[in-house]
Amino acid sequence: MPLVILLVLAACEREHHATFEDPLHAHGIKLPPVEPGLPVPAPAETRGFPVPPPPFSPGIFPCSRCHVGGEPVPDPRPAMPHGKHLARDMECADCHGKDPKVPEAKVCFECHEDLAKEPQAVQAYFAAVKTADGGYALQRRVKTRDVIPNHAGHAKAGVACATCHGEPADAPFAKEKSVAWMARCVACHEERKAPASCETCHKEIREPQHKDVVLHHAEGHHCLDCHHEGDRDYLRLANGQKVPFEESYRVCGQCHGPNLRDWKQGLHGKRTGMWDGERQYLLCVHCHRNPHAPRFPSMVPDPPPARPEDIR
Amino acid sequence: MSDFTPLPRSPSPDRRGFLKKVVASAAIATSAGCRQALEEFMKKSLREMSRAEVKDVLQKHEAEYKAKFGREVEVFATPAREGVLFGYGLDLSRCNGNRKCVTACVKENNQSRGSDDAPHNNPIQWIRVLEMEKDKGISFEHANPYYNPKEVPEEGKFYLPVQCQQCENPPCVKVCPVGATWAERDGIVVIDYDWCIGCRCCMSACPYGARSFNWAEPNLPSDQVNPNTHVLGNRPRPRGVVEKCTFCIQRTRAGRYPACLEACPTGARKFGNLLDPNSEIRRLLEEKRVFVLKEELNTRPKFFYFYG
Repeated sequence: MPLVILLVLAACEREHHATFEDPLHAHGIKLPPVEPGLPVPAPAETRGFPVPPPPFSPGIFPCSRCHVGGEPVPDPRPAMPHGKHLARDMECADCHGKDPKVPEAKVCFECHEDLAKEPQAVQAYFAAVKTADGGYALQRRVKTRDVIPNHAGHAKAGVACATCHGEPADAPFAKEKSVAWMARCVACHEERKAPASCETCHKEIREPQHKDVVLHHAEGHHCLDCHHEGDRDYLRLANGQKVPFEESYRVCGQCHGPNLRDWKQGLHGKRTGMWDGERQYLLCVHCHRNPHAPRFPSMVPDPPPARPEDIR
Repeated sequence: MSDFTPLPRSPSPDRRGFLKKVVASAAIATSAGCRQALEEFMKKSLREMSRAEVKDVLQKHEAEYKAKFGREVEVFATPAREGVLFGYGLDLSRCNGNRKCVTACVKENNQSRGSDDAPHNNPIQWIRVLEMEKDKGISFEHANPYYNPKEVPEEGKFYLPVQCQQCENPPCVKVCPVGATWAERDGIVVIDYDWCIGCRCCMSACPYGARSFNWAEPNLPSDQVNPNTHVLGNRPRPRGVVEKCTFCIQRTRAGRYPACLEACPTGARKFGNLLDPNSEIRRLLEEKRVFVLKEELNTRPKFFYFYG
């Protein structure tokens, strides 16, 4: 089990690193084309009868369009040599400030007063981060477009900078251990009994289609408990197995076993068509609509029958 | 054969021959319309008709509806299939009393619509959803079919839709004085609207209140007519006949699910062939604890309720 958790954490890290700020333009990543109405395979449990495309499925708008998977795209610019600075008894806050952020270049020049007199390595670094308009933009290794790091809050809770960012070193440490990867965040938050819902950290990225996602179902679970961490066009079982959205009932059935059993026999859920021939199976999400809040909604009843005294 | 002496012909004509002559002469003497009415009056029950005669009746009905509604209405007489006995299941833990089944049923089965504008207001619904209190359980004394809150389900209430239970031992059939209602081989209890005399004995015999009477000419706007009809089911009815749920005979005999089942947004309704061990209804009977309404009356309904 710990191995599985480790694997999941590793996958989460990889996945989350991929959500750099504006991954589309900054890194020249081309989006896969939108293909409306992808063919829906018939799940094994429906005896070969087709199911209508489930709502929320990636058929119309693949999740992978935004959640770009795979290896992180490296920033080609060199890393700032933190180790050399710390060796001179500097504190993080000296450059990053009390409310930590990536410093502007003028902070550097408070010490590195005359660039021409600096050693070759320093000159090379500044040459590498020089922008087109003659200024300097220090590298932002920790670019996560969706997470607002609440530095003040973490500082107040006594979380050291290195807890999330790792011990700064001269090597390009960012790739290995700098960023507060989500799985680590979650583990730490749970350990410290800090709020660990999505909204706690992800405030900005909430894409329009995710703004309405409120978990009124299996509270305490996280997105990636059901969504496949490496490939967002798929769901996942507890054992990590990839499951297409058309077989989402397998995900639901992990907890709702008796209902899954009844559904397979046609005792739970709805089927339309022929009682003795081709019929259409509806998936859990067709009736329970929103898998994040699947409680069957209240309905407005159709008008009541006429009372006998009203019949004329 | 020499001693054969034919019997003398009866001097007076026999009763049957006399009536025949009277009818024939009357038919010739009267106008065409009158003759039609007379034929209509003298025709046999649908059950006694030959196939050709039934076909004739269907064509007559189709012509009648075309004239009445100004559109094609097909009337079928699809017979019961061999090896099929229909059964219905209803999951009371799913039903939330939204009455979508009722609306779909009225639409599918050409029932009389309620309308304040029409000269008569005699809306008919084959499904009656009873609101009951959870505290009291299934108690027909405390049932309310007229509930109309803003939203269903209401706290502390549950809902029990009742329609024709398609009894194996139907009391309505027993009491019909003219044999206008009977159980078909596939278990559906049907009514021959042309044979029904409107005495309403069946209505008082039915312990489920499943039958309705057309007190007035049904209010069925021509643009709302379902043109796929069965002669014993949803074909437009005349005034003065009894009608009821037929498990959507026009659909189910063609292999389709009933309209109420397809309309139910909660998936509470189950339907299938009781003689097929792999059908949904058979799985239901084997897996769930089912009950029937008013079991003590020995009507043996084929409509099963369960808590899923």
